[in-house]
Amino acid sequence: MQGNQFENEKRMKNIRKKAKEAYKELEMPESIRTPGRTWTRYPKNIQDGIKNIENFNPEVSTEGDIDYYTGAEAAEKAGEKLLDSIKLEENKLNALHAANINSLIYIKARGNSKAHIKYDTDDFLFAHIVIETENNTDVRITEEFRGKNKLQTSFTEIYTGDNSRVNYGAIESLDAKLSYSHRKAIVGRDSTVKWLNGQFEGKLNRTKIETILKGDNSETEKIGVWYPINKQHFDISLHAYHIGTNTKCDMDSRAVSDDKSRSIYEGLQKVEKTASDTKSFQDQETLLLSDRAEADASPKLMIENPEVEASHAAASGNIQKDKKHYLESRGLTDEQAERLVVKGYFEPVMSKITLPDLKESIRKEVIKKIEREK
Amino acid sequence: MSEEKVEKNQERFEHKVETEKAFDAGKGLTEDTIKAISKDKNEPEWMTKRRLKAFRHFKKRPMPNWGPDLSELDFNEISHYVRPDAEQSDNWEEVPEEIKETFDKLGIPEAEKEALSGVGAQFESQVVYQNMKDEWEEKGVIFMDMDKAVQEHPELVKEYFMTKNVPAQDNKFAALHGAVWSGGSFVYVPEDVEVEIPVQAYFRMNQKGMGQFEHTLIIAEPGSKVHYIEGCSAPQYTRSNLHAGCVEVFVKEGAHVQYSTVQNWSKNTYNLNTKRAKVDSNGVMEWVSGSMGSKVTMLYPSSHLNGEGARANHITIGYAGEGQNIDTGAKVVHNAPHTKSTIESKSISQGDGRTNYRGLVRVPKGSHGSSVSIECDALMFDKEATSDTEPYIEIKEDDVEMAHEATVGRIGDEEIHYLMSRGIEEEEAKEMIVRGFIEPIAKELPLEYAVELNRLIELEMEGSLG
Repeated sequence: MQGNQFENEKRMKNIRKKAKEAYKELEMPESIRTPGRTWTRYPKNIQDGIKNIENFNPEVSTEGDIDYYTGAEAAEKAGEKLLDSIKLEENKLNALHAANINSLIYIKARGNSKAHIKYDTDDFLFAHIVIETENNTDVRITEEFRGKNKLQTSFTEIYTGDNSRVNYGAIESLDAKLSYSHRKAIVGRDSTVKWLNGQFEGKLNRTKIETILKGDNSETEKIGVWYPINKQHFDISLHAYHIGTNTKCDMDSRAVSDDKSRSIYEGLQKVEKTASDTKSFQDQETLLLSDRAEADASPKLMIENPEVEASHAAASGNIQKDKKHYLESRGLTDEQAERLVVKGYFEPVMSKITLPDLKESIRKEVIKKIEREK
Repeated sequence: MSEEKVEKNQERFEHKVETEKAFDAGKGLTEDTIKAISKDKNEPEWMTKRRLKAFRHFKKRPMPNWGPDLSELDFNEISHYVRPDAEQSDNWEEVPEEIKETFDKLGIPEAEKEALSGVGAQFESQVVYQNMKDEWEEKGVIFMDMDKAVQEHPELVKEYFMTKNVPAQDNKFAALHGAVWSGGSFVYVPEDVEVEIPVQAYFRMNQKGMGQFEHTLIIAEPGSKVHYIEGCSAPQYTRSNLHAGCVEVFVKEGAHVQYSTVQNWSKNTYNLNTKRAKVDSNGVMEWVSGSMGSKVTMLYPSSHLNGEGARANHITIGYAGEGQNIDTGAKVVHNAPHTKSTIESKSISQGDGRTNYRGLVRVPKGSHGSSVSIECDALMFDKEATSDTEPYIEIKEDDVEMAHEATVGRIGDEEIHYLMSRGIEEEEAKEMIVRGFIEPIAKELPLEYAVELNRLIELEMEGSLG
């Protein structure tokens, strides 16, 4: 370990100072409230034990025309872009993250390139990655989280140039008491950012992915797959903000919720006044496998510009009995039939995934859950 | 400052002067006012107590921190309108020109015009109703003014009025309502009785103090059936800028209640209502709401499906023109197995109008075999129009089918072009599309309402109304 990598980096020092101050005043991330209920409650004293935490260096592998920096150098290269799209003042956990970042990566991508970052740790992890692309870039970036700890935060900031494609995916299989992810992209002209999120481990997972479609003709696609079991509580928000003209958004996510787990989804398609000729679609479906599981959904549409074609859909239900009966009539046991239905349930979104390695990892996680001893 | 703004300010100013003349300004609502209302109505002590309790809750309760902007709402103005000694000037001349014009354009007869605008205190359509009344009374149906019901059916009112359905503690406006309510209807339908002709509150909106804080209580005993219609599509002029009504419906075992309302409050009105139905096993509740007028409307009829096999259908249509914020939706709680709800929300926004669908559907554990269907469609006409859809769905039971869909679009250029290519004028083409859009609500209404609703939308779209 290399001690505190950011000790002498000026901007980082300022951020830490500001974050520590802000932390005291801020509230935990906003949660949806309906009469008599708050959808997500955060554990108390989550910050206990965070003191002099060591830096963590993830495994990074790259291909193609891509530069990456870590530690103080990353902070220096990222400059003003660090915590610019995501504000540390947004809530208490953002401030906690900013005050304690112990893994920082800055990626500058151009041309055709690829990067995979793997975090595997049993200690506190406050991971932050800033990705900038030049014009005409086509880059794939994947992050993988493994291990077991009390608290992990993962922030991703993406700033694209024009005519660029960023294909980003994260698989969260880290067994944390609280896993908090905040990802945001600002998309330039004629550019596309694709997101993939897969949540599998951890007691409480709060993930928010936001895309700002700022440039004209910019696009985003969000694919989500999550599968809480036991008492897992996954609260996923997917937000798209249409600002430029002729922007497109397609959000498609599926969840399976078993045992006493809870799947929470908030989708937002916001079409700002400036965004003419918008196309925006959102779909979220949840399959409930247990009568003690819960699915809460709030897919929102906010339209300030009528030059729009927007729709959203949400659905939840259990395994249709006739489907299962059919499979059972073909000689499958009840359990086998259920497994087959669950596997098939994710297929429509799985088939849209364009990151083959991550797709494989997600498939493995799904199978692990399907085939676990109940 | 634009001319329009100047005009608006002027209007507000004049309004205030009038208020100050009536009684000491700045006093607001006090317990004495509440007591005076109750005394004036000769109410039994329990009702006075309920009013005071509600008033204390109103004082304590903060304003809702979500939804449309209510910061311009001035509660101090309310006392003027709820004081029983306040002078009620029944002056047709006071009714704004734009509303008079609308009446003319809708072709409403003179006597009704005055009644609908709330100034003709004498208008009651006795002739029309007398025959119906006789028939109902024979069957044991009670349909009367809520104030009268307090005197004549105290046991029923005491049991059902703001107790187990909408308690005054429910929200700030329910609390205000509980304190100052006046008028409204009381409907009691005995077991297995069907009231075939829709019960209409249409002509009853004209008694002293009515129309602002009216309370409607509907009790449908097991196996009974009733269709209740409130309001009408003709514009309603209120001198107060606040309407806080409350509707409580009890749908007992196997009963069927349809509650239809088309509101068209004048465009200075804050229309903030609480409407709720409790539905027992195999009962059916149908809410049909059309919101046309007002400056701000917050209306989310709710259904609590408490018995096995209970059903709720919600159809809501909102039309927000220039300067209007129509925030409507639905709330359904599935408290029993095999319950079913469908929500269909349609909204149209024009000019800088804003529509919002806000809905909550909750299926707690144990309500197996239930189904939920939510559909929201929004049409937007102008560059400045806005539309939001905010559903909240909580499913705690696996044996449930839930589907939600929403679409938003600008009125289809393709559809318009197609219709125009068939020789239809652009305006007419737009109207045809809108008419098709609101069809689901129009067909639930008696003919005269449907006709009025259609006509009104045409007028709104032509921009010929103020």
